[in-house]
Amino acid sequence: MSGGMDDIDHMLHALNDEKFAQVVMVLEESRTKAANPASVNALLKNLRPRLVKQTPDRWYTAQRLFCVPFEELLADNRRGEKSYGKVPRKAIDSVWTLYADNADSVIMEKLEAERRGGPISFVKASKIAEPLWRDAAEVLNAQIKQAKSSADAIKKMTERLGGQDAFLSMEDIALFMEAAPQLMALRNGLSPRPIRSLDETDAKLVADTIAEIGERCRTEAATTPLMIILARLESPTTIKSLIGKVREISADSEQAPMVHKALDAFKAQVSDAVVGEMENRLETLSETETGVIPREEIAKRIEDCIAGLDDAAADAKEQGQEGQFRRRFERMKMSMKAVVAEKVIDGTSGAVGDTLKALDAMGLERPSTESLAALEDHLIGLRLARRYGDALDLKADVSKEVDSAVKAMKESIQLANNKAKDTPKSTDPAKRTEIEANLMSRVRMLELIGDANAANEEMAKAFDILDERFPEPDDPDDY
Amino acid sequence: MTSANPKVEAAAPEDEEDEDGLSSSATRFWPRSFVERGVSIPFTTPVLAQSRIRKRSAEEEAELLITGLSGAKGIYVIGWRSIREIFTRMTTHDQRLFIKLARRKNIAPEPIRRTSLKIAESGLAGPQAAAAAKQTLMEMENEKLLCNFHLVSNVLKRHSDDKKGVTLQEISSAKGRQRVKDRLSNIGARFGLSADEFYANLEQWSDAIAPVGLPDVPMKSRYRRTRDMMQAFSTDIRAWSQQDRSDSGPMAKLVANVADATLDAIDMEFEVTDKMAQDLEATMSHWKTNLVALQLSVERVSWLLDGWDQLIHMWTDHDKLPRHKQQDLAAEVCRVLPIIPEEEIKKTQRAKWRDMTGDLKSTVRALEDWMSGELDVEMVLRMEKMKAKSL
Repeated sequence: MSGGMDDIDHMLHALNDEKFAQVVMVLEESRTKAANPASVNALLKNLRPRLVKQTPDRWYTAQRLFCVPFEELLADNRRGEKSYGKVPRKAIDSVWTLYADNADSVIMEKLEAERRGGPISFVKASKIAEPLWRDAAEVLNAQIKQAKSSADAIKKMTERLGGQDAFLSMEDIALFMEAAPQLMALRNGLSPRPIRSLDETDAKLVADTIAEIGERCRTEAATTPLMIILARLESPTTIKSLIGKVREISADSEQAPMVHKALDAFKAQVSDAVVGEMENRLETLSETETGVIPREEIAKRIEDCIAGLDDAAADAKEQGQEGQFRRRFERMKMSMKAVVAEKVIDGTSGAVGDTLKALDAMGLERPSTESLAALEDHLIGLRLARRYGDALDLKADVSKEVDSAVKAMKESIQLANNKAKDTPKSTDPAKRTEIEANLMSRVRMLELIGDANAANEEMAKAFDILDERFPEPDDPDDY
Repeated sequence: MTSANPKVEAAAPEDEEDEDGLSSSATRFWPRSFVERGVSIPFTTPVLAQSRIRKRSAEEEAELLITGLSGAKGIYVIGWRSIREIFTRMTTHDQRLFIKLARRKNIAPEPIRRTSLKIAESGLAGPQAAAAAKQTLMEMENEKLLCNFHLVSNVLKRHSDDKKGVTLQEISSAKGRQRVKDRLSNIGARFGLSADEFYANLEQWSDAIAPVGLPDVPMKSRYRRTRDMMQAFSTDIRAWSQQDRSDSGPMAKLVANVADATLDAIDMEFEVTDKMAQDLEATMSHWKTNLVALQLSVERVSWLLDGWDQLIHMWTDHDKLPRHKQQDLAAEVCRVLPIIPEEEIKKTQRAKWRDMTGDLKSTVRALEDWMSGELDVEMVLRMEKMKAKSL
């Protein structure tokens, strides 16, 4: 992304919730009219994490409404193999076109009229799209049935959709369309992501949703609620224990056989589903432009990925599936390493050097809040990356960056201390406050990067100088 | 959980009183006085967050009070000098605060807050906390002047012949103040006071009530803003408690009950200060006694509010967290809940408070894994963000 787009991106992320929602509306509206829709799409893609959290009113297209029931399962799928429970983004256009070409025109016209009224809430979108989902289920199931009627038909359909993955995705999407009302109720009732564990209410909701889908739709659709749960989990590998919880809570119900059948069907694919989920999260992170997500946040997400990868590897070993997943695990590790090197470590010592140079040039005034806040993100990211440097074979890179930053910090502290010593003595409290803020901002850098002992030593030295050169007046409150 | 430090492990979490009525290693869950309860300290080292400081007398060593330390449910008391031996990994911010507080003679909410703000202003708790502290210190500097302006203006509007107030510019300059004094002279004369004496009384008055301020002024005072936040917090956490089915639900309800009962006590004090502002004749007729009453009321409000602002900001944005984290947060809020001491509660209210503190003692969750060695940087940053919001 160019520097200009980077700036726009940063500006958009800095907006408050209300302004952010307004800008998203304008962007979505302009997407259909823009000369270069790709640039608008690129901006919206980078805003996706915040859109998921904030859910502002949006300008839904008919295609977007079509995707709502399974939007949490969309994946970039760069590695090219479709994972169980994921819908590759690149498959959507062809499946949507196939449906749109065969859709009920009355339903589509009514929907167009309703959605053209302006941006709408997620709840309203769910309501007006119900007829579309019903129609799409019928159309797609009919198309699948027709395609499966002969080898030639399936070949033609696969070609039309753009490949085997797209055909498999169409089968999944047909299931999501059938179960859409139940999935939407589940999505609205569940805790937002990240879910660490299912409490009794959540587990019961999942069991009831599975049972209801099992009664109203094809049996295969009953596993779809579990795919949504997986996408919301803080740690995807905990899905197995959550399956146990849903099994337990539904054990005495009439629907137990139906629910347990769905749980077993999902469990048979669970390793693929879990690894696919982790790959998807990692791909999202890899593709996000540097600087869009704070370094601290990226460093934390990678730490979660490492823990997930360890659990998944242990599971695969236990089930004798090591060989099947080895390449995927290796690829994930390489991808994590690249993300940390590029988006967390790279540039930290440079940023420290730049900030210190600016500080040194200022004299002994208070540094700006903005410059320090930006630097803090670098330092915290690097500190977090140090915790798992070994696991990603990045220990030497992290150490090199830390050492270089610490060296620059210590030199700068020495320089500032000398400046303070050379400044004429003063009892002006305002002067003391300014100089104290300057010296302590440097001490804070040392502390943030993780060198607590050095930070303590430097703090003690700095306060000795401050107390000697700029003594504090007696506290009037202390009687 | 086991503890490596005998100084903490030896402390039984029961009420063990010494001859002064204060315990040596653990203290009463329901303190008798504000002094015994201590003042909350906005430390950023996670285990020390929301702990309290108290002093038996100006000469004696201060003590640190931590609820639920060492995996038990009592309130632990640690001598100030032992803190660094027990908590070997403190943030630089907290080490500085530790040194500054060790030297203090007067342990009360306002001076502790000022000390903490000055340290935050240096940037040791991060740039956001530094900016917030700078802003608050400036506001605190100005609040006496602002209160004086409102008080004098109200007096002139109500009691002068022309019923006109003053401007802030007028009262900020020596010349302007002289003009104001001239206009006040007729009113002062009604109470047998010269213009200077009357103006001095009004200055003493505004100095005494500055953080509480006056009712019905355009910009609410610091204490009134915290009080309003507390009201909103209570409503919010009560609504949350009604929807949550975990162990944290009853804890949140208890928090709301304690907040409401504390709000009642705060409002009673506001009534005292506001009533005096409404009735100039009555206030001036016994000025010296009333001034003491005003000072006591404001000081009492400072103790009643102590600790709540941090707790309210802990809860802010809870709805953006996943449910299990909201439940942990409600339990943590409950752990550090400021209880009004026994002696400060009217006899008619004591049974209600006894029940609430009994419930609190039985539900409060102990701190876990507090001695894990390395400081958890993410926890520290969370503390700092909360601190920046609450300053």
